[in-house]
Amino acid sequence: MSQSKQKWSKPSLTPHRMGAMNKFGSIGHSQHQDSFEGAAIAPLLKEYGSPLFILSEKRLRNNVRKLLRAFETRYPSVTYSWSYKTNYLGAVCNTFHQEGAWAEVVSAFEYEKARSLGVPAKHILFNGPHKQRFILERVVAEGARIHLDNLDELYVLEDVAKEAGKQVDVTMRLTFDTGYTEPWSRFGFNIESGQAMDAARILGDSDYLNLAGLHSHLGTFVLDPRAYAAQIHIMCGFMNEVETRTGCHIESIDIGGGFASMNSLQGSYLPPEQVVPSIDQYAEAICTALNDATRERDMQGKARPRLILESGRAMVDDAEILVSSVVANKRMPDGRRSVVLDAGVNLLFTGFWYNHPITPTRPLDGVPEDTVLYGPLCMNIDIMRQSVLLPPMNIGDSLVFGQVGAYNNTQWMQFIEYRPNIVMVHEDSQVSVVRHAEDLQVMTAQEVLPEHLSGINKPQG
Amino acid sequence: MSIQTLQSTGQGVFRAYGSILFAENPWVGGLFVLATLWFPNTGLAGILAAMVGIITAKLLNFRDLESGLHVYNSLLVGLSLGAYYQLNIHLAVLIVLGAILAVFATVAMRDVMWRLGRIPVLSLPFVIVALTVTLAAHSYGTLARYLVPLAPYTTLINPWVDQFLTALGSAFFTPHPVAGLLLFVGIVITSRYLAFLAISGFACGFAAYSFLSGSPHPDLVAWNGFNFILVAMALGGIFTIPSRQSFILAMVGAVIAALVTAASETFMLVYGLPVMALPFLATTLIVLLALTQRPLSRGLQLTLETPALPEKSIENVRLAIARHGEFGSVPILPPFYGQWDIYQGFDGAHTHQAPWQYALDFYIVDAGKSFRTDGRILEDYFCFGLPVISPVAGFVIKTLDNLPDNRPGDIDSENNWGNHILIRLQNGLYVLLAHLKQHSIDVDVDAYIHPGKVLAACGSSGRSPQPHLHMHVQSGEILGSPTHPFHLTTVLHQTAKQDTTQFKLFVRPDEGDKILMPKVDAILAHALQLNVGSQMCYEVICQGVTQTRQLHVSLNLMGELRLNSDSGASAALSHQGSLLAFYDRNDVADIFLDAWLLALGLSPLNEGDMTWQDQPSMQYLPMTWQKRMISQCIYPMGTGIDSDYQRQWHGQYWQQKGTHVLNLPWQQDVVFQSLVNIEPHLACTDIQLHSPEFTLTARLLQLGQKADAGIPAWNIETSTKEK
Repeated sequence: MSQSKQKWSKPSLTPHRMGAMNKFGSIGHSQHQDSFEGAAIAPLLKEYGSPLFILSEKRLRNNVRKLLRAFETRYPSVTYSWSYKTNYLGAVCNTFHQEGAWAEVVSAFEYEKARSLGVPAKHILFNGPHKQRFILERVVAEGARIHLDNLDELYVLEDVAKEAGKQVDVTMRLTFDTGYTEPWSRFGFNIESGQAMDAARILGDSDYLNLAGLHSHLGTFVLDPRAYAAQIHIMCGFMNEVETRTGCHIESIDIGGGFASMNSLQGSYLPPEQVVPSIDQYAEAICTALNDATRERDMQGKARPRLILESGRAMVDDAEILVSSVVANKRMPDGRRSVVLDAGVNLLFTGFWYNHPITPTRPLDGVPEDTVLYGPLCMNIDIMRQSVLLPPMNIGDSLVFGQVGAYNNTQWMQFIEYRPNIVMVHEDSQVSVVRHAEDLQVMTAQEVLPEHLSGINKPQG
Repeated sequence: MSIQTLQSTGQGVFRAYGSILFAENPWVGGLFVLATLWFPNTGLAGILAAMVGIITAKLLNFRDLESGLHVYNSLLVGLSLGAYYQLNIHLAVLIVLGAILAVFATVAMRDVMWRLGRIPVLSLPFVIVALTVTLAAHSYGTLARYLVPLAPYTTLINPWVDQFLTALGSAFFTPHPVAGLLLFVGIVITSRYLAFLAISGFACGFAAYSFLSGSPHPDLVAWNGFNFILVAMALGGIFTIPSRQSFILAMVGAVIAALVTAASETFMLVYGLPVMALPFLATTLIVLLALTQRPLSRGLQLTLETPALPEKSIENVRLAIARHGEFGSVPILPPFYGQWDIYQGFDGAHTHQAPWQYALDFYIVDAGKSFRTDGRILEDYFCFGLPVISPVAGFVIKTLDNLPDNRPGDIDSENNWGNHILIRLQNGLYVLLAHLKQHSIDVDVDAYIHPGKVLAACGSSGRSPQPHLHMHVQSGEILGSPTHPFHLTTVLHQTAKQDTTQFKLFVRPDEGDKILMPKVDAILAHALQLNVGSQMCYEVICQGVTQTRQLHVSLNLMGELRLNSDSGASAALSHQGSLLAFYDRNDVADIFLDAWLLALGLSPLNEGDMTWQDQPSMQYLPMTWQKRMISQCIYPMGTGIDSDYQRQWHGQYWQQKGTHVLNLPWQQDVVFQSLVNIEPHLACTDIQLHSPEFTLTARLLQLGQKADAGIPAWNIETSTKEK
């Protein structure tokens, strides 16, 4: 009869402490994740290096299909428009476009990118507070839909349309208080102050601009679907009023985005599984409100307006992970354990606001301990997580940061470090690089050295 | 009387002559007048009666004067008297009285017959009036007998053909081969198929008549043989849609007419009366009246509501079948938004068995599962609680929504249909939506609902082990009445095997198929909107010849929109929410309108790049005369061409391309390509139709609206646009 030897694990000090904040708070450390959508993580790290972003094409497709199914089975005319700023990697955008998504862009760059990916102009919504004249001229010529943000923009656009000799359909961005969320009053025309109706009257009188759509965006990470119901009722009320007063015909209602993903906002009490509504719950609230608010129109034989959704985060967050490796272990002066990783806030910009789910890529033995995760930057603020319960780890062990698809590949910084590879796991589990890691050549490609600065020695004479 | 009145009266008379043998063209009627004048006594008597008839109808202001219907019975009365008595002042008075009586009899009996069984009056008034007048004539000593010199005459073609022609002539009381030949030429001009029916009907009827009577008296055949011909033409060509079944019916009718003729002769001779059209009427009307009592079926189809020449009705039917699939099947829209799956189709193995075999069950599946997580609660099921919308227009007859939804796996066999809504359609049938969610019904009994109205939510009440929606069409008001065939229309359909979706006007999905309600492209629908008074001016270059052509849209009294060209050619159109369709092209030749119809004949107005099919008539193809001759020989009744369409967005406009193939033997297939560019907020700016030998291009020059009372006309120039 043989007796197996007890496994050795690193010793750790565990101070006595009250239990976690709530009964859900301390689970998680016992799990590990060694693959992502059918692709093993370790070989990927070996091939593409660490840190590494991994995207799942299947999840992207499933997310948008789920969204469309939820809305299209509840309302007759639904269009999904991919919000480029959330993640404008070509591979991500085109996955969505293949599923029928339009493009929502907010700058000349995003517009040009969407066009270069092959999106027809009539399927592009051009939004945002900054639209230069040159890009407006192109957009008017090509026929994309412009979302007006302010009166000055309205006048510029009218002038552009006049020069082009065209009648241009426009959408007006609205802002108002639903009572559920903090109003984002810096964008668009305010309804309560009468500004929106004034602008609509100007559009009604214009020979070159037609008001054909309404748009508003409540905010981000909206956890209460009733906020959208309130938004729909206010927008439809304005639609009926503006149609009566100016004789325009509103063909689309764009409710922006803001659906929450399964991420955890810092400071929230309950975990996302408990607070984040399902897409079906959002759809039920929105479509019920919209069917109610447009019933009268339907009875009159007028077409119901097209519902446009611009949800970004909820479509992409869970489709991407960041894998980062341990560079060093440290004990802090206050006794806490800390770990230095090879990925920091330069790559995970949203780490400032969200507690991304963190999972080791192998089962870790030992007692979980409160740990600080630092990034590689030579900056004090480079903290990936202030506090997470993790068992001790070795150098070279890796961690998965989940729910990183939204805003990180667009807001990341080129600061101190090269940005790493981004790979995509396709539906057949094949993997391909969708953005190469940066190198010196990429980093200096745009630089120009004046002749007298071309060397490190001061030129003579 | 002005020249115009005279002209219209003349045309009315000609039409009356034509309509005895189902010809519409007045010139053919004119030919028939000539035929009757072979025996001037008879012919003149006929013309007199026709004139009296038309004047009577006009003075009394009866409707449908132009159809010649009132007049042809008068005309026949005149012809019949002219065939037996000499035309003199006494007979003229009798003809006038008979003709007037015939007009009254026609108007009165037509209405009665229509109410009786939707059957036509035909020449029944004539037979009744003619018998009355003939009986009266027996007692008028002032009339002088006149006998048509039947024989002898030299053989015209050969004895058999002569016999046929003579019999045909006697339909106009001019039993002579020459008159018969003129009539036959008229029939051939009108319809080759009717001519074919006339010959075969006569052959069958004559064979039966001779077989039973041994050697019939040639005079009897000459006088009464036309009954076989008329029965065959009416049953096989005019009041049914030409088919193998209708041909057999026509021949059986001709044989029965032979029997009825023999019987009538025996009976009528007692009173010294001629048989006239009595056997034709008795046979045709009895057969038609009996046939109206059948339920709808795939085989023999009556056209009592819209009798037409066989070539025309078969063309209409071909298009109807290509687009609607089947007679009597009720078109229905999907009762939901978005994409659903078929849980059970027609004749489904689970519960869709006779008499409930025509039913569809819908639910939603994702990756082979109809639920999220573990499916233990109703809310896990994708379709549970989703809106159920009205698939039809009609009145809500019954609702029930207080039954609880079953837990997954359970069924309520007490209340089979569960919570439900029963809707009565305008055609008298009913639509049932069943297994709805408890307390979800949002419509009242007796409410009139339109397609697309949200009615309730999908549930799992009644005999429903998992949430799904049951829909069927039934024939009675009682729950569970026998079901009636129906089909889904204007949907995107994806079969379980294929990965691509196709736009369909007729689909009966099978288990595992997907049905998607397409999204209408409002801008495309607007660009193809053809309103009353819209007019378009095109520069048309056809085979190198440039012309400026106009099209405009009109609305007729039937409420039918028609696209008319300046040549007088026109076609009916229907622009509903999700579809633009053209049909019922009239007979005026016009290559430009045909090109338009080929390019746009059937256009779904949905979003996205699409492909679909249609089967327009081969008449639309501007073929060379050689090809036209060949195709006429191969397809004497015409045929549909295979048209495949696709539409794509081209940056500034939609381009809709069609490939039109007419299959001819020996690799002589006729292939045409059509193309149309549709510009948003404008219209069809460019239309092209071409084949190796033919090119037509049209460019929009002007778009406008006709003036109406108080509404000025407008026009915009579009010719500056170059592509």
